[in-house]
Amino acid sequence: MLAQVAFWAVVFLTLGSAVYVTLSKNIMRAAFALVVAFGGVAGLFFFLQADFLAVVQFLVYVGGIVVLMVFAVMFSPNVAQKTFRESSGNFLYAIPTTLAVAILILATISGVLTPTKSEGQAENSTSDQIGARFYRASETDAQEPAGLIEDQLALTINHDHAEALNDQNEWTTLHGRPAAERPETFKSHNLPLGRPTSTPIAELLLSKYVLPFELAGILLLAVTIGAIVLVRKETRHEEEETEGGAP
Amino acid sequence: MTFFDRVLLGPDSVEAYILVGALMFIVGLFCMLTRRNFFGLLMGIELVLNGASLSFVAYSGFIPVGVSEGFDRIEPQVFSLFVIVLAAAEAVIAFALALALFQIRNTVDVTRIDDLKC
Repeated sequence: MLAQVAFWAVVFLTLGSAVYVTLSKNIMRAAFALVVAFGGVAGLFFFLQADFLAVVQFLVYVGGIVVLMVFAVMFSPNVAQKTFRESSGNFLYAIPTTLAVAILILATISGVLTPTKSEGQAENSTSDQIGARFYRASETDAQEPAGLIEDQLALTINHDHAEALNDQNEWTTLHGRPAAERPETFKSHNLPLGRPTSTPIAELLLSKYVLPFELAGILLLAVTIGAIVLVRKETRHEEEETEGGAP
Repeated sequence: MTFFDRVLLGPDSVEAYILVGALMFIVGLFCMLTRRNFFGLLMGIELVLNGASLSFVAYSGFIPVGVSEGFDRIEPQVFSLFVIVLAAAEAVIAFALALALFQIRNTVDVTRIDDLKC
Protein backbone atom coordinates (compact mmCIF):
# COMPACT_ATOMS: atom_id res chain seq x y z
CA MET A 1 0.00 0.00 0.00
CA LEU A 2 2.78 2.39 0.97
CA ALA A 3 4.66 1.38 -2.17
CA GLN A 4 1.56 2.16 -4.25
CA VAL A 5 1.17 5.64 -2.74
CA ALA A 6 4.88 6.43 -3.13
CA PHE A 7 4.91 5.12 -6.69
CA TRP A 8 1.97 7.20 -7.87
CA ALA A 9 3.30 10.27 -6.06
CA VAL A 10 6.63 9.90 -7.89
CA VAL A 11 4.85 9.29 -11.20
CA PHE A 12 2.65 12.38 -10.94
CA LEU A 13 5.59 14.50 -9.76
CA THR A 14 7.65 13.33 -12.75
CA LEU A 15 4.99 13.77 -15.40
CA GLY A 16 3.69 17.00 -13.85
CA SER A 17 7.11 18.61 -13.92
CA ALA A 18 7.70 17.32 -17.46
CA VAL A 19 4.49 19.09 -18.54
CA TYR A 20 5.57 22.20 -16.62
CA VAL A 21 8.92 22.18 -18.46
CA THR A 22 6.98 22.15 -21.72
CA LEU A 23 4.48 24.88 -20.88
CA SER A 24 6.35 27.23 -18.53
CA LYS A 25 6.96 30.84 -19.56
CA ASN A 26 10.07 31.23 -17.41
CA ILE A 27 13.27 29.46 -18.37
CA MET A 28 14.64 29.25 -14.83
CA ARG A 29 11.42 27.72 -13.50
CA ALA A 30 11.49 25.26 -16.39
CA ALA A 31 15.08 24.32 -15.48
CA PHE A 32 14.14 23.69 -11.86
CA ALA A 33 11.08 21.68 -12.93
CA LEU A 34 13.52 19.65 -15.01
CA VAL A 35 15.41 18.87 -11.78
CA VAL A 36 12.20 17.46 -10.29
CA ALA A 37 11.47 15.44 -13.44
CA PHE A 38 14.97 13.92 -13.48
CA GLY A 39 14.76 13.23 -9.75
CA GLY A 40 11.41 11.51 -10.29
CA VAL A 41 12.94 9.27 -12.96
CA ALA A 42 15.74 8.44 -10.51
CA GLY A 43 13.04 7.51 -7.99
CA LEU A 44 11.42 5.19 -10.54
CA PHE A 45 14.87 3.62 -11.07
CA PHE A 46 14.95 2.91 -7.33
CA PHE A 47 11.52 1.27 -7.64
CA LEU A 48 13.03 -0.95 -10.36
CA GLN A 49 15.96 -1.86 -8.06
CA ALA A 50 18.44 -0.17 -10.38
CA ASP A 51 20.25 1.57 -7.56
CA PHE A 52 23.51 2.36 -9.36
CA LEU A 53 21.67 3.82 -12.33
CA ALA A 54 19.46 5.94 -10.09
CA VAL A 55 22.50 7.51 -8.42
CA VAL A 56 24.20 8.06 -11.81
CA GLN A 57 21.00 9.64 -13.11
CA PHE A 58 20.94 12.02 -10.18
CA LEU A 59 24.64 12.87 -10.45
CA VAL A 60 24.80 13.37 -14.21
CA TYR A 61 21.43 14.94 -14.94
CA VAL A 62 20.68 16.97 -11.83
CA GLY A 63 24.27 17.66 -10.81
CA GLY A 64 25.64 18.05 -14.31
CA ILE A 65 23.28 18.83 -17.14
CA VAL A 66 20.78 21.06 -15.34
CA VAL A 67 23.54 23.02 -13.58
CA LEU A 68 25.27 23.43 -16.94
CA MET A 69 21.99 24.58 -18.46
CA VAL A 70 21.40 27.14 -15.72
CA PHE A 71 24.96 28.43 -16.14
CA ALA A 72 24.58 28.68 -19.92
CA VAL A 73 21.30 30.57 -19.53
CA MET A 74 22.78 32.97 -17.01
CA PHE A 75 25.85 33.63 -19.15
CA SER A 76 23.74 34.81 -22.07
CA PRO A 77 21.77 37.91 -21.02
CA ASN A 78 18.26 38.64 -22.28
CA VAL A 79 17.81 34.98 -23.13
CA ALA A 80 15.48 34.49 -20.23
CA GLN A 81 13.27 37.48 -20.93
CA LYS A 82 12.27 37.46 -24.55
CA THR A 83 12.25 34.32 -26.58
CA PHE A 84 11.33 31.78 -23.96
CA ARG A 85 7.95 33.38 -23.32
CA GLU A 86 6.63 32.91 -26.80
CA SER A 87 6.41 29.50 -28.38
CA SER A 88 7.23 28.98 -32.02
CA GLY A 89 3.54 29.13 -32.90
CA ASN A 90 3.86 25.84 -34.72
CA PHE A 91 0.86 24.37 -32.88
CA LEU A 92 -0.80 23.75 -36.23
CA TYR A 93 1.91 21.18 -36.99
CA ALA A 94 3.02 20.28 -33.47
CA ILE A 95 -0.29 19.07 -32.08
CA PRO A 96 -1.18 16.65 -34.93
CA THR A 97 2.41 15.34 -34.99
CA THR A 98 2.47 14.76 -31.24
CA LEU A 99 -0.98 13.15 -31.31
CA ALA A 100 0.03 10.84 -34.15
CA VAL A 101 3.22 9.76 -32.39
CA ALA A 102 1.34 9.37 -29.10
CA ILE A 103 -1.32 7.13 -30.68
CA LEU A 104 1.37 5.10 -32.42
CA ILE A 105 3.42 4.57 -29.25
CA LEU A 106 0.46 3.87 -26.94
CA ALA A 107 -1.15 1.47 -29.43
CA THR A 108 2.16 -0.34 -29.87
CA ILE A 109 2.97 -0.77 -26.19
CA SER A 110 -0.58 -1.73 -25.22
CA GLY A 111 -0.69 -4.19 -28.12
CA VAL A 112 2.69 -5.70 -27.40
CA LEU A 113 2.21 -5.99 -23.65
CA THR A 114 -1.29 -7.47 -23.78
CA PRO A 115 -1.04 -11.27 -23.85
CA THR A 116 -2.85 -13.14 -26.55
CA LYS A 117 -4.94 -16.24 -25.86
CA SER A 118 -2.38 -18.68 -27.21
CA GLU A 119 -0.13 -17.86 -24.27
CA GLY A 120 -2.70 -18.96 -21.73
CA GLN A 121 -0.63 -21.87 -20.48
CA ALA A 122 2.37 -19.75 -19.67
CA GLU A 123 0.21 -17.32 -17.73
CA ASN A 124 -1.27 -20.00 -15.52
CA SER A 125 2.18 -20.96 -14.29
CA THR A 126 2.28 -17.84 -12.14
CA SER A 127 -1.15 -17.99 -10.63
CA ASP A 128 -1.29 -14.55 -9.05
CA GLN A 129 -0.13 -12.79 -12.20
CA ILE A 130 -2.87 -13.78 -14.63
CA GLY A 131 -2.60 -11.76 -17.79
CA ALA A 132 0.97 -10.70 -17.14
CA ARG A 133 3.72 -11.02 -19.68
CA PHE A 134 6.31 -9.83 -17.18
CA TYR A 135 6.71 -10.42 -13.49
CA ARG A 136 8.97 -8.86 -10.91
CA ALA A 137 12.57 -10.01 -11.05
CA SER A 138 12.73 -10.26 -7.27
CA GLU A 139 9.85 -12.75 -7.17
CA THR A 140 11.93 -15.42 -8.83
CA ASP A 141 14.90 -14.89 -6.59
CA ALA A 142 12.95 -15.88 -3.52
CA GLN A 143 12.79 -19.41 -4.90
CA GLU A 144 15.49 -21.61 -6.27
CA PRO A 145 15.98 -20.73 -9.93
CA ALA A 146 16.22 -24.38 -10.92
CA GLY A 147 12.88 -25.16 -9.29
CA LEU A 148 11.22 -22.41 -11.23
CA ILE A 149 12.53 -23.70 -14.53
CA GLU A 150 11.21 -27.11 -13.64
CA ASP A 151 7.79 -25.69 -12.81
CA GLN A 152 7.47 -23.80 -16.01
CA LEU A 153 8.88 -26.37 -18.35
CA ALA A 154 6.85 -29.16 -16.81
CA LEU A 155 3.67 -27.47 -17.94
CA THR A 156 4.63 -27.32 -21.58
CA ILE A 157 7.33 -29.91 -22.25
CA ASN A 158 7.53 -33.45 -20.99
CA HIS A 159 9.47 -34.10 -17.83
CA ASP A 160 12.54 -35.83 -19.24
CA HIS A 161 13.20 -32.99 -21.60
CA ALA A 162 12.80 -30.53 -18.77
CA GLU A 163 15.36 -32.38 -16.68
CA ALA A 164 17.80 -32.42 -19.57
CA LEU A 165 17.41 -28.68 -19.99
CA ASN A 166 17.82 -28.24 -16.27
CA ASP A 167 21.16 -30.05 -16.26
CA GLN A 168 22.28 -27.96 -19.20
CA ASN A 169 21.36 -24.73 -17.46
CA GLU A 170 23.31 -25.65 -14.37
CA TRP A 171 26.51 -25.85 -16.36
CA THR A 172 25.97 -23.15 -18.92
CA THR A 173 27.09 -19.81 -17.58
CA LEU A 174 27.26 -16.30 -18.90
CA HIS A 175 30.82 -16.60 -20.09
CA GLY A 176 30.84 -20.27 -20.87
CA ARG A 177 32.75 -21.19 -17.75
CA PRO A 178 31.36 -23.94 -15.56
CA ALA A 179 29.51 -22.72 -12.51
CA ALA A 180 31.93 -24.25 -10.05
CA GLU A 181 34.86 -22.14 -11.22
CA ARG A 182 33.10 -18.85 -10.80
CA PRO A 183 33.47 -16.75 -7.68
CA GLU A 184 30.39 -16.08 -5.60
CA THR A 185 29.78 -12.56 -6.90
CA PHE A 186 29.40 -13.75 -10.48
CA LYS A 187 26.88 -16.38 -9.59
CA SER A 188 23.72 -14.78 -10.93
CA HIS A 189 22.72 -11.61 -12.67
CA ASN A 190 19.14 -11.95 -11.55
CA LEU A 191 19.88 -10.28 -8.29
CA PRO A 192 17.70 -10.67 -5.26
CA LEU A 193 16.09 -7.64 -3.68
CA GLY A 194 18.59 -5.35 -2.02
CA ARG A 195 21.70 -6.68 -3.75
CA PRO A 196 23.67 -3.80 -5.35
CA THR A 197 23.78 -3.79 -9.14
CA SER A 198 27.16 -2.07 -9.51
CA THR A 199 29.19 -5.30 -9.60
CA PRO A 200 27.34 -6.95 -12.53
CA ILE A 201 27.20 -3.62 -14.40
CA ALA A 202 30.96 -3.24 -14.06
CA GLU A 203 31.47 -6.84 -15.14
CA LEU A 204 29.33 -6.33 -18.26
CA LEU A 205 31.03 -3.02 -19.09
CA LEU A 206 34.45 -4.62 -18.95
CA SER A 207 33.59 -7.83 -20.78
CA LYS A 208 30.71 -7.78 -23.24
CA TYR A 209 30.39 -4.03 -23.71
CA VAL A 210 34.06 -3.08 -23.49
CA LEU A 211 34.14 -1.64 -27.03
CA PRO A 212 31.18 0.73 -26.51
CA PHE A 213 32.73 1.60 -23.16
CA GLU A 214 36.01 2.62 -24.80
CA LEU A 215 34.16 4.46 -27.55
CA ALA A 216 32.20 6.38 -24.93
CA GLY A 217 35.50 7.42 -23.38
CA ILE A 218 36.81 8.65 -26.74
CA LEU A 219 33.50 10.44 -27.36
CA LEU A 220 33.72 12.22 -24.02
CA LEU A 221 37.29 13.32 -24.79
CA ALA A 222 36.20 14.62 -28.19
CA VAL A 223 33.26 16.42 -26.58
CA THR A 224 35.51 18.06 -24.01
CA ILE A 225 37.92 19.32 -26.69
CA GLY A 226 35.04 20.33 -28.98
CA ALA A 227 33.30 22.33 -26.27
CA ILE A 228 36.53 24.18 -25.44
CA VAL A 229 37.14 24.96 -29.12
CA LEU A 230 33.56 26.10 -29.71
CA VAL A 231 33.33 28.58 -26.88
CA ARG A 232 36.84 30.03 -27.34
CA LYS A 233 36.88 33.51 -28.74
CA GLU A 234 40.55 34.52 -28.95
CA THR A 235 41.58 32.30 -31.87
CA ARG A 236 39.46 34.24 -34.33
CA HIS A 237 41.03 37.56 -33.34
CA GLU A 238 44.54 36.14 -33.61
CA GLU A 239 43.86 34.79 -37.08
CA GLU A 240 42.44 38.11 -38.23
CA GLU A 241 45.43 39.96 -36.82
CA THR A 242 48.00 37.71 -38.46
CA GLU A 243 46.16 37.86 -41.78
CA GLY A 244 45.98 41.63 -41.57
CA GLY A 245 49.59 42.06 -40.41
CA ALA A 246 51.25 39.69 -42.90
CA PRO A 247 51.45 42.01 -45.93
CA MET B 1 -6.79 -8.05 -17.63
CA THR B 2 -6.32 -5.35 -20.20
CA PHE B 3 -3.29 -3.13 -20.54
CA PHE B 4 -4.72 -0.26 -18.51
CA ASP B 5 -5.94 -2.58 -15.74
CA ARG B 6 -2.38 -3.73 -15.36
CA VAL B 7 -1.09 -0.15 -15.38
CA LEU B 8 -3.23 0.48 -12.30
CA LEU B 9 -1.31 -2.23 -10.43
CA GLY B 10 1.42 0.38 -10.12
CA PRO B 11 4.95 -0.60 -9.10
CA ASP B 12 4.33 -4.32 -9.59
CA SER B 13 3.58 -4.17 -13.31
CA VAL B 14 5.99 -3.36 -16.10
CA GLU B 15 3.17 -1.60 -17.96
CA ALA B 16 3.08 1.33 -15.52
CA TYR B 17 6.77 2.11 -16.03
CA ILE B 18 6.51 1.73 -19.80
CA LEU B 19 3.51 4.06 -19.88
CA VAL B 20 5.34 6.69 -17.80
CA GLY B 21 8.36 6.44 -20.11
CA ALA B 22 6.14 6.78 -23.19
CA LEU B 23 4.32 9.80 -21.75
CA MET B 24 7.64 11.47 -20.92
CA PHE B 25 8.77 10.82 -24.49
CA ILE B 26 5.58 12.38 -25.88
CA VAL B 27 5.75 15.44 -23.61
CA GLY B 28 9.41 15.94 -24.59
CA LEU B 29 8.50 15.64 -28.28
CA PHE B 30 5.84 18.30 -27.88
CA CYS B 31 8.39 20.50 -26.08
CA MET B 32 10.85 20.04 -28.96
CA LEU B 33 8.23 20.95 -31.55
CA THR B 34 6.81 24.06 -29.88
CA ARG B 35 9.77 25.75 -28.18
CA ARG B 36 11.42 28.66 -29.93
CA ASN B 37 14.30 29.04 -27.47
CA PHE B 38 17.36 26.85 -28.03
CA PHE B 39 17.49 25.90 -24.33
CA GLY B 40 13.81 24.98 -24.32
CA LEU B 41 14.50 22.70 -27.27
CA LEU B 42 17.32 21.03 -25.34
CA MET B 43 15.08 20.47 -22.32
CA GLY B 44 12.67 18.65 -24.66
CA ILE B 45 15.51 16.48 -25.96
CA GLU B 46 16.55 15.60 -22.42
CA LEU B 47 12.97 14.61 -21.58
CA VAL B 48 12.81 12.37 -24.67
CA LEU B 49 16.10 10.67 -23.77
CA ASN B 50 14.96 10.17 -20.18
CA GLY B 51 11.70 8.60 -21.29
CA ALA B 52 13.54 6.16 -23.55
CA SER B 53 16.02 5.39 -20.78
CA LEU B 54 13.19 4.69 -18.33
CA SER B 55 11.63 2.26 -20.81
CA PHE B 56 14.95 0.40 -21.00
CA VAL B 57 15.30 0.12 -17.24
CA ALA B 58 11.64 -0.88 -16.83
CA TYR B 59 12.42 -4.17 -18.53
CA SER B 60 15.35 -4.73 -16.19
CA GLY B 61 13.07 -4.95 -13.16
CA PHE B 62 10.87 -7.64 -14.71
CA ILE B 63 11.31 -11.00 -16.34
CA PRO B 64 9.13 -12.26 -19.21
CA VAL B 65 6.72 -15.01 -18.24
CA GLY B 66 8.06 -18.32 -19.44
CA VAL B 67 11.70 -17.19 -19.48
CA SER B 68 13.64 -17.73 -16.32
CA GLU B 69 17.23 -18.61 -17.15
CA GLY B 70 19.47 -16.68 -19.48
CA PHE B 71 17.51 -13.46 -19.09
CA ASP B 72 20.05 -10.85 -18.08
CA ARG B 73 18.30 -8.12 -16.14
CA ILE B 74 21.44 -5.99 -15.87
CA GLU B 75 21.87 -5.53 -19.61
CA PRO B 76 19.11 -2.88 -20.03
CA GLN B 77 20.79 -0.88 -17.29
CA VAL B 78 24.04 -0.88 -19.27
CA PHE B 79 22.17 0.43 -22.32
CA SER B 80 20.63 3.11 -20.14
CA LEU B 81 24.08 4.03 -18.85
CA PHE B 82 25.22 4.62 -22.42
CA VAL B 83 22.10 6.73 -23.05
CA ILE B 84 23.08 8.89 -20.08
CA VAL B 85 26.65 9.26 -21.40
CA LEU B 86 25.40 10.25 -24.86
CA ALA B 87 22.89 12.69 -23.36
CA ALA B 88 25.63 14.37 -21.36
CA ALA B 89 27.89 14.62 -24.42
CA GLU B 90 25.05 15.99 -26.54
CA ALA B 91 24.10 18.54 -23.90
CA VAL B 92 27.68 19.84 -23.57
CA ILE B 93 28.11 20.30 -27.33
CA ALA B 94 24.67 21.87 -27.66
CA PHE B 95 25.35 24.39 -24.91
CA ALA B 96 28.71 25.25 -26.43
CA LEU B 97 26.98 25.77 -29.79
CA ALA B 98 24.30 27.91 -28.15
CA LEU B 99 26.90 30.13 -26.49
CA ALA B 100 28.94 30.44 -29.71
CA LEU B 101 25.77 31.27 -31.62
CA PHE B 102 24.81 33.85 -29.04
CA GLN B 103 28.18 35.56 -29.41
CA ILE B 104 27.73 35.85 -33.19
CA ARG B 105 24.01 36.43 -33.63
CA ASN B 106 22.99 37.76 -30.20
CA THR B 107 19.98 35.45 -30.16
CA VAL B 108 19.08 31.87 -29.31
CA ASP B 109 15.76 32.00 -31.16
CA VAL B 110 15.94 28.98 -33.45
CA THR B 111 13.30 30.38 -35.83
CA ARG B 112 15.57 33.35 -36.63
CA ILE B 113 18.66 31.27 -37.32
CA ASP B 114 17.82 30.27 -40.87
CA ASP B 115 20.89 31.24 -42.88
CA LEU B 116 21.10 27.82 -44.48
CA LYS B 117 17.48 27.87 -45.60
CA CYS B 118 17.16 28.22 -49.36
